[in-house]
Amino acid sequence: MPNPSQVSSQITGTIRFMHGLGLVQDQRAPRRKSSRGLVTITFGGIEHIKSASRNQSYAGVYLESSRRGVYSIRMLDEALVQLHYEFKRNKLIRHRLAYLPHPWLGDFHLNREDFVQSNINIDTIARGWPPTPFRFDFDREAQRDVVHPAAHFTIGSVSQCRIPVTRPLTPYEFIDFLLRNFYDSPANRYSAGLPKPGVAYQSTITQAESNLVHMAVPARRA
Amino acid sequence: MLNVTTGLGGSPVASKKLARILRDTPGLTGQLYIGFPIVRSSEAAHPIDALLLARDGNLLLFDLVDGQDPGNYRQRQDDAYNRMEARLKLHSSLVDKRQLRVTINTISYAPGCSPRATESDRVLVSSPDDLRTAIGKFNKNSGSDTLFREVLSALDGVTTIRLGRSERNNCSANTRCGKLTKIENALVTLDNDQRDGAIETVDGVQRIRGLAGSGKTVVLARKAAYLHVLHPDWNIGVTFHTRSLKSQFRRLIKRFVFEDAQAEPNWNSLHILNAWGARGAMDQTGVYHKFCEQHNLEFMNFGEASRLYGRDEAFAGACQRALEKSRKPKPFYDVLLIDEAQDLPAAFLRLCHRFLKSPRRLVYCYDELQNLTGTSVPPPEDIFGQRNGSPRVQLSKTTGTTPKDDIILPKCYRTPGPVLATAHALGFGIYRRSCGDSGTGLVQMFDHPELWQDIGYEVFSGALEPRSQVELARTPSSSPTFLQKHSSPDDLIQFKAFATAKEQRKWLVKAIQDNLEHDRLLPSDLMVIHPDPVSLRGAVGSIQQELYDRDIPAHLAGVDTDADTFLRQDQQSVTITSVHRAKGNEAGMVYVINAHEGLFAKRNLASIRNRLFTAITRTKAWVRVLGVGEQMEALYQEFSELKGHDFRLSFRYPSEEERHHLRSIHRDMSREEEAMLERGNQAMAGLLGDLESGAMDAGDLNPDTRTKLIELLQQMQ
Repeated sequence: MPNPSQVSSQITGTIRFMHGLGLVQDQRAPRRKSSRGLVTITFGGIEHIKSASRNQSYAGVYLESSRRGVYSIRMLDEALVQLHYEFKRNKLIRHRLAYLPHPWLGDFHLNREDFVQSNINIDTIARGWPPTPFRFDFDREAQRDVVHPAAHFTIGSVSQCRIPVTRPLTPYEFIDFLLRNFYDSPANRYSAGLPKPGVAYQSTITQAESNLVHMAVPARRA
Repeated sequence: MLNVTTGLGGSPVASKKLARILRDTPGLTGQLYIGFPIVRSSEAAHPIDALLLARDGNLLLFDLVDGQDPGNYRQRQDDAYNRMEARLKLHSSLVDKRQLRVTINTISYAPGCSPRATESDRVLVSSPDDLRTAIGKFNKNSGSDTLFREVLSALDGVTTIRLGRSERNNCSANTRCGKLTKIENALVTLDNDQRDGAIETVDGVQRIRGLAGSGKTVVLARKAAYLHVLHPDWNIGVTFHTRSLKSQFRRLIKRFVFEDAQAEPNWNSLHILNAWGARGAMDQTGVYHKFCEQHNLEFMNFGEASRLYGRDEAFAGACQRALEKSRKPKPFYDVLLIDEAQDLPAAFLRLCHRFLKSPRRLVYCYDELQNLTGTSVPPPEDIFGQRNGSPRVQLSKTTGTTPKDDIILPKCYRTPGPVLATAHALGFGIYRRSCGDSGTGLVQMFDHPELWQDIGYEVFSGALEPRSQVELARTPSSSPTFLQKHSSPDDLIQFKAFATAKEQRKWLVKAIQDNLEHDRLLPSDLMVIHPDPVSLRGAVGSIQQELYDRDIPAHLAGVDTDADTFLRQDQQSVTITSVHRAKGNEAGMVYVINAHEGLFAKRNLASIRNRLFTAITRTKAWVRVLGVGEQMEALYQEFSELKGHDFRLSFRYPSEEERHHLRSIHRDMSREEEAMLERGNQAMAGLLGDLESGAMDAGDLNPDTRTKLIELLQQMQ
């Protein structure tokens, strides 16, 4: 069961790794806050997350988050990644792992070379399809069987979209998911060299939830 | 001498006469504005007809009257007085307790009135003699220069443009932190050339050329604001190449409009937009995109255009196609202001010209040496083409009282003199060892030798003409000494050659750490520039890692990073960038890394050198040029020679044929051309190999081919 220090050092390690790949524009080092048994591993700018999320449009949410530095990592295609964990007495109670792609810049997969080579005209290429932001959330306290799975996956801004997930994700697992599905290509296996820590969280999915369509995170020996 | 700046005034006859008389008045010095500044009353914002600022800082406001009836001139004078007093009183340096430290006088000048009607009144004059007498009484030609400059700064409206920078904590004067603070706090005024560029507006095309750091962006922003306040109904467009300029323009124009009108700009009629633009998002439109929309044409993005015209010609091709397809022009803008024209194709300038309503007011600004693609900006006759056998646009070197249409900004307010000379020396290859057959190390040269003087160099020895040896030095007026006297040349600029990339990285990271811990600079004072955008990511990843390991915040400048985030003032962080995204920005300490890359390249040397030029001129104070290996040693040698010449440029000015030769060998090749050349070379090498090995006999060659080959080879000898 990764504790706050392990989570923090996993975040640091994955950021460092992605620097080496040339995938990172900017990052904000994990910040640790403790008060009355509650430990938060989060990013600088977290205090603005509420005002940024209050925007009506996705572009508004993105731009406000971007401007105020509400992110852990800014990827080379300007997508923002937010990594936020909360622990009570060393036990994980909440996480928010979000991916916010740029609202109108062209898709990374289709314009890989232009992003990698810092083509200044990349901004003339607009997104063909709408951006698809997503989140892996975990909330032990808000959990209600089936209605609100403790660990769930949310696509876009649909508030009732909570696809059950078998267990919380470590920073490594989230970044691996992100790189594998959104940045890798046959010629560029960014995810391949990602450091693989052995620790992971235990299952939190209920029997009823596992009878539904859900996402399974492979169990790893804790 | 009296400097005359002519804006857009309401009484053309009287203002022309006034300017002529004042200019011809012996011994009159100071600044005369016509149609400027705009000063707001409670009802509206409109310009002062004319204003004479004397050397002692006192002002004479002119109420100008065309025609015979002076009307209620006393009331107009009172109004102008009150508005001007209110404006100047906003500047605490100009106020002593409740009193303005300078006096404001007023006079009406009505050249059309009969002298008799005006003789009894000392505040209304009509004859040149009376005007001279009135001015003679006012003008004392003495007083403190400081006060003069402070009033100028207030009138130009530039006093506030540097406010809002992050504050460095009280650091002592001899640290880097203290020195940089002092440079940044120097009083901002426009110089005469900048003021002309900002205010004088011609009914047609105006060209403004200026060095890196000569204030082109401020001048264009000032002009946009002035025209917007004067003509709120005009559609005004401001466009540029480097994306981060967008928010810089927005910030500056907002300040200037507020200064003139105490109001927000109306962004519906004043557009700050990219040159190219994109489909879809409202914020992402550009001039070309808007042109396509207006003319119902198909818009092409970079990918689409580069498939048709090649990567390097993509935008030129797209613009040219739009021009050809828009047979019937649908003009939209009243004024278009273009920054960084050196990076935009001529076809884009033509497109802008076509997009303008008569009289097609187009202002374009550029710095030849900051061009990053190796092509130079053609003369206006070539850009805008012909109409009925004569050039559509021709610039005149006007002097006198009409607005100037060709302005050069020779002073550099950002980069210290020795650093600028270094940038020029490297950019032109002044001290580059000659290689191969060209006989000169020069990479490029201005076609017009006098341009060197225009950009602030003087002849130290020799003659500035083709085939002559010449030595050029920067003048103290074109490179203000306060920018350089804070540090010795050895500290202003350093070159370092390393054996390996790792050594370079270690040195860089250590130096940055020293800047932050020892020199007390802020992370946002530091900029690391890797010249080549293509290899940027591969080159800086390990630097990012190392800075991250040491808890030094650093970021790469992004795709559409606005300047607010480019140098993230609120979130302190070191900027790492390619030179393409660094343009238009500046920092106190600049590290140019991997400066060696491409120096021995066979092609594209002009643009590779221009990248170095642009990177070095980003600094406000210090620059460190780092690189690896033998190529860097060669660059180091060039710098040593320059230093040996006390930062003067000594070279033989190439003849026209030689310049032509330089252009043909160092110009940029598109990737397609490079590939073609490579193919040709390989085929030739293959043929040679086959002939040498005996696999093929010369007799096997087609006789025609053989004859032609022999002929060509003989010609080459």
